[in-house]
Amino acid sequence: MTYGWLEFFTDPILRGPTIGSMLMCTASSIIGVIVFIRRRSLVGETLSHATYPGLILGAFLCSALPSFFEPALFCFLLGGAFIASVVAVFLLQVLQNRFRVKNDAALCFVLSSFFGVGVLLAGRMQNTHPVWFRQIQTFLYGQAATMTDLYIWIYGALFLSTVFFVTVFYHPLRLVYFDGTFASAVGFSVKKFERFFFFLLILAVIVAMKSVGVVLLSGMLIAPALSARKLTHRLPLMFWIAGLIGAFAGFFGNYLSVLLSVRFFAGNLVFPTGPMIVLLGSVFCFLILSFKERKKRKVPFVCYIEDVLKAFPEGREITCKEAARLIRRNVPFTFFLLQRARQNRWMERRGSYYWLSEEGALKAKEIIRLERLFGVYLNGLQQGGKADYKSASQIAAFLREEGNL
Amino acid sequence: MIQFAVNPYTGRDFFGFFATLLQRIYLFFKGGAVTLVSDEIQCIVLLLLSLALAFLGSFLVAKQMTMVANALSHTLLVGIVIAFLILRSLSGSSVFSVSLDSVKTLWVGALITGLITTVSTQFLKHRFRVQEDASIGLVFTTLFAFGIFLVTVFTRNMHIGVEAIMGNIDALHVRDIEKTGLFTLVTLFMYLLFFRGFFSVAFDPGFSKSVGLPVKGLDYLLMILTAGGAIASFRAVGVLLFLALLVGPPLIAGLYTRSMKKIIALSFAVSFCCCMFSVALSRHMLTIYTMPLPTSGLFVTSLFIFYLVALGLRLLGRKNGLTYRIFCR
Repeated sequence: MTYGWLEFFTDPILRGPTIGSMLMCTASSIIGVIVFIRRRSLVGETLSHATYPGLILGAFLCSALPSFFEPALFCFLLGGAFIASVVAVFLLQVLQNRFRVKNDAALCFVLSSFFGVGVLLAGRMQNTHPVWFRQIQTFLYGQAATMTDLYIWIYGALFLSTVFFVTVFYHPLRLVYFDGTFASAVGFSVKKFERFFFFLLILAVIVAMKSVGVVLLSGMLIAPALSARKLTHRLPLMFWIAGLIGAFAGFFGNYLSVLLSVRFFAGNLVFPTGPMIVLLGSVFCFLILSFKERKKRKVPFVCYIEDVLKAFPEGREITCKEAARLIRRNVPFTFFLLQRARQNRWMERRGSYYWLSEEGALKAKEIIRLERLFGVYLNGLQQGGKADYKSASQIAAFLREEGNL
Repeated sequence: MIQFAVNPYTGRDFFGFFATLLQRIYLFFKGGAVTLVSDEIQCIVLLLLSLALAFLGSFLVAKQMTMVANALSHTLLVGIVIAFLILRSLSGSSVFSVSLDSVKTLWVGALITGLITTVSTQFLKHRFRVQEDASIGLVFTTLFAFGIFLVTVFTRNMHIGVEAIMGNIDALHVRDIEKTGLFTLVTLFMYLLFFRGFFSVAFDPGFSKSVGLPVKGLDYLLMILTAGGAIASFRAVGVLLFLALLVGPPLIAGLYTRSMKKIIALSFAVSFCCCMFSVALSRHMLTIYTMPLPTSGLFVTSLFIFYLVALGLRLLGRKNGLTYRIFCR
């Protein structure tokens, strides 16, 4: 059983999950950019875990309905998740602002306690509605496979609304997050905007829950945004790139999970989409990180040899051990440096004794002179450039007078 | 015929549970033959865990590193799987059967988990200049996804992934007491050795470095111990309860005292209360309402409620708090 690429978009069974998870991942990565800029990446983790009790409460509420049909259950689940994460945000704010709990402890505590309440309720649900319980468990690691065409419409609407919010509020968003003081000076309520930020975050969590899963959702918020940040310095481009990476991860995660289910489990077990999507997204992110890494300038090796030349006493013969003590390095490395110096004819050797050759002595003088020059120059710079000298030749003259050259 | 030991707690309600417990403890000290039953095993495991985690958690909260603990609780899956694979290849093909939950695997797993997580987070932060929270988030989601992938492919079973999060407290065995007890002993021993060091590093890293303490080494030790805690608790209660046990009690204790030793003692007391309360309540629910509830969920929920109550009391007890306004004006 193999599928072509295009079939994932046309086949009536496969197109629901594929398009659905692409939409979800794109939406969540776009919002991930905002979360990333705001430096609140771990709040996504807390809010996504906090939705779990909401999911189950939603299902309980739905069981009180007189008739049952699946989309209604789904809407109840999403609604419950929304409310639970709003409560979590509220609690977070109260803990941090009112009780001065440290940011990370508040996040961690809200995460674990909400999830714990969820586990408690889930234990109850396991006995009363075992089928729904299993359905909710798939939200933990995400499962796109059960989505029908109807879900494309639901998620299309959610996706469009996130894009709508981000485009409409793009300018205030940029203003508040890059220059908060200016924004508040202009009269913009940053506090209100914080609420809007949390609203967007909750929206992202709810949108991505079905395909990426509650547990790994924060990966989908972070990885595309981080890789976009490394690729560009411009905000609009960041949104586009993150969205594209999200769509890419959504498609291939879904593709691979179908492939894995067929290959390893002969279709008996549906491999969860969440881990695949997150793995792809973060592998992509790591690749970009390692390619875009800024290279450190290495100290040229000659520098170490020059250190030896500088430290060497003129007209004396010393052993390797003494030289090592002079430059404060270990003996083997000093030996190596001395050999390199001999190759350059700066050093001569008889037995275990070394001394500077004429060339070497000249070289050492030259180095010391240059270093002094730069030292004085840098010193002048540090004093605000108000030195007595105007050019390198003047510096050299000053130094000669002092007897340093 | 196999005769099952009758659980003396069957049919007991909330207070009956404590009565039976006291009776059995009395019997035990009188020298009677008492075999442990599942409720008592739950209690003992939870108590051992809460003792060790009160220490760990107080320091983590003080150092503001609880999110790293959260990351560790996710990455332990990959640590265990890697440890399992390494040990299996070391011991040759199934001569010594290395199981996924033997003590050796778990400890090597804890070591690997702690090291991998901390090193890679630091690497991302320093080498690639990623902001700290993003690097933590990226590392643990990646490793967790990878762990789930490995576990699912190797064991062809999705169940472990879910169990790692939820835990399965009802399936506890007497052997689990030994595992948890070993972890608690190691943690306590480390604390007796290094308490001063941990204390000084937590509150003044610069000073401790100038005095010559191995700041980084102590940090790594703390992380490895935390990973050990996550691994000791995940079979029994799930990583989730681990997190709650780690963060909740020190937070509650921190509302009332500022001294480190008092925080540790108070947080152990809080988790002790929560533990007894939740085990008894779970029995109560089963007896009275025939409603089996997971003890781990009950535990976290009761801790949550404790915290809210403590916050409320704090609000009331303030100098310009509610009680003051009502009665003292």
